[in-house]
Amino acid sequence: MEPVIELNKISKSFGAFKAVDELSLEVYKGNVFGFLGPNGAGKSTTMRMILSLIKPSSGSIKIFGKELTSHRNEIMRQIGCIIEKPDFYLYMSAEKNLQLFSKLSGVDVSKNKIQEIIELVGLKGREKDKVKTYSHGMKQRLGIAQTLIHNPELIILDEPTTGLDPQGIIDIREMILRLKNDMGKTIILSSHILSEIELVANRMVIINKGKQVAQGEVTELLSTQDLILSIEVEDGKIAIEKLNGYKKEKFSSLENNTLKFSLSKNEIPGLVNELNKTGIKIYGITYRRALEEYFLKLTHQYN
Amino acid sequence: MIYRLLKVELYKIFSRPRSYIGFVAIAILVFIFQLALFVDGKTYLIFLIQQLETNFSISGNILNGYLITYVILQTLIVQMPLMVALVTGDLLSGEASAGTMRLLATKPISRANIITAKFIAGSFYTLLLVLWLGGLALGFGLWIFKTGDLMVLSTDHISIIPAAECLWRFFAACVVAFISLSVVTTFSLMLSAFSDNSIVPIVSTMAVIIIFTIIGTLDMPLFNNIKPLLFTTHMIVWQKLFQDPLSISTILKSIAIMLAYIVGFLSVTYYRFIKKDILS
Amino acid sequence: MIRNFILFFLFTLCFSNYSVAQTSSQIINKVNTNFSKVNDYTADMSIHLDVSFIKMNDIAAKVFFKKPKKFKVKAEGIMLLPKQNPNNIQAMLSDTNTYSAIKTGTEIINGVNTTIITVIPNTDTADLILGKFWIDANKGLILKSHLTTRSNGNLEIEHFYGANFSYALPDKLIFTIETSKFKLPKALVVDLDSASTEDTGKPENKKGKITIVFSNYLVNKGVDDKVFK
Repeated sequence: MEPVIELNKISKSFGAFKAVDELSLEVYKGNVFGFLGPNGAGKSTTMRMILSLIKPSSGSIKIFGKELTSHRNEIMRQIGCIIEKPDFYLYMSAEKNLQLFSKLSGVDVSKNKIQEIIELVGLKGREKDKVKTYSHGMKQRLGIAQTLIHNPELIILDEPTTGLDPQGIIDIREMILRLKNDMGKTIILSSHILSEIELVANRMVIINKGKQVAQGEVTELLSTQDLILSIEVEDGKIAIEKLNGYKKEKFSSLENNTLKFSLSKNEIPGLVNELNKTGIKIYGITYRRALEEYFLKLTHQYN
Repeated sequence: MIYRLLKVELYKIFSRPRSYIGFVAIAILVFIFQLALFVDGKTYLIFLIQQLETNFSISGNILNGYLITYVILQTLIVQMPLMVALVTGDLLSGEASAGTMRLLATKPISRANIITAKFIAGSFYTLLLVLWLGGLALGFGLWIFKTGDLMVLSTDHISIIPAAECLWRFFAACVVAFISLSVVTTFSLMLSAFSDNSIVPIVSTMAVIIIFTIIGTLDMPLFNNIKPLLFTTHMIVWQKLFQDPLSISTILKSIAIMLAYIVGFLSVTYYRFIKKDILS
Repeated sequence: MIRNFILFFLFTLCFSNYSVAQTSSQIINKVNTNFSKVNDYTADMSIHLDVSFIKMNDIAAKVFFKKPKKFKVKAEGIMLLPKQNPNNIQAMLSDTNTYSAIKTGTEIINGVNTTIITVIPNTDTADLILGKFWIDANKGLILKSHLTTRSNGNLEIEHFYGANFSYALPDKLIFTIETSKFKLPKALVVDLDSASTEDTGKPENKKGKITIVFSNYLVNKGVDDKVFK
């Protein structure tokens, strides 16, 4: 399958700071591609390079099989995006903003189409109001409307759920899935929340400090074959002694009477059974997938 | 596409309240001037021409619409760079600070076209402002004070321009004033390309104009050599259209210098904006 | 101003008992006789100013006169005229009791023998301090006047005559006036660079010339009084 986006070893430096370091990735048609990384990992910089807002220091970008630098306008006609936060001309109404941006995208959109989109994003009844009266959530919805107004092939959404209430997050998630499933759009979605990506993306890349950490199918990367199991017991040291070497090779750490093991899902019942036999009190058992655990560490590191 | 973009730019300019500050300010000032001269114009005139009256008996409608327009232009054109910069200094930086530059620059429009459209829209705004000032001053001036020869008072001489020649001279003055203000337009647009907030280009434009004007006023040998190079020196060349004999070569020279500035400022703007990483 | 001048001479007349010398009186009478033939006149005027601080095209105007002292100049636009006009002089000379006239010499002007008559007002409060007239005694025409006034300093007028010499109406008058340097405070006018002011640095008092050319005289054809309103 021909990739919609191909990044080939792109790098971007701001002075001595390397924001993106030889990042390569491919996004395929009809996919939702997750772009995951903690704050400051280089997600926005990469997206800005894809959108030609920032020029890469090195490497090449191909979109729809064409070089971005030489076919910029042609490519941009097929892209809709929200970068960082949806900003609009605050002194104009939502409707007028949509009209202007559709004009700038090179298409004349009918009033009906604008109304349709406004309804789709749930802003019906407020379209005549000036954007300065909008809440953040409403602006985010308007941002989605703006990305769709000229019916692009590729949609780039940079942290589209930031600042939204739980219902808003669910609405956006559903909209992304509709765009993918019903309309066959290709979507790139960035987030610093793994679960958000996991729920909608087919493929994803995790980047940290501008470098790729992992890339692949979401189901593969987040498989239950590789879990981190945490068992909180009455006394961790005695529990290890009494386990008497059971799953010793899978044991990873002991912290505050919590034992951590790296194992697969089907190994959990055996381990719990063994612990029960020792008579040690078990207060709680939780598990995380290994990548999730890794990503959580990264995020904590940056927050 | 450029036409489409230009329409959008003009729409943006004229849907912002700040764009009307200049028009309102000019209307108020013109009204105040006309009222003041209507009420007290004779006293002002007597004061101005009392020296002449030692040797001459003067007759005719001196306080006419043309004189009123000239006085208004003379006083207000100096203030117009601020009104112009208020809008043009915000053209690029305003989009950057509002975050809309991100959207604009991801549309299928080349950055050069963005600048071109903004420059044309800014120039159109400037032209309207000049025509508004000229039209309002002249229209109301002729209506209230009627026509007559124009007595142009300078610090050391008086020129009297026949009424029949006044209209074309005012029109030409508006064109030259427009070129002068276009220097301000492009200068503030250039600064706007370097900034992500509107205040810096607007204030910097005014600061530079004030500094250059002060240097232009100081009669010091050190500054005399650089005076002809300062764009502010040439910005008042419209007044030369009201001198007899008409110094066409001086006027054309000043226009050429101002055009060179416009081209220079625009080139820097294009270069900077095309190369710029949009991080706002 | 013109009217004040005339009134002033009328006023001084009341207090004067000085007798005019015979010879000069005869000459002046001849001048007055010429002008007394004029009941009214109209003429086209072209005024050319050659004054350093005034830049102005020639002014086209029309002059109207009616005895005894109605005088009006009309122009389309702004008009600058010397404060003294020929009718002032005529009016002044015709009131022979208001001044003392003395013959002070002769001089050839433009090939014509002239008698110089010096006129001194009979009161020291008069604006005119001294008047000097170069008169063609044969024709009774003033060819040159030199006036020293309190308000306007020195003023010289050269008179040139044509077809209407018998009425003492000139075809051309050249006024030479003293002009003080014109200076307006910068606060009042936004000025261009000083490069345009070529005369800067010259003496304070300069001469200015005003040439008035008269044409299309209509003498004693009647002038409507409305014109002077």
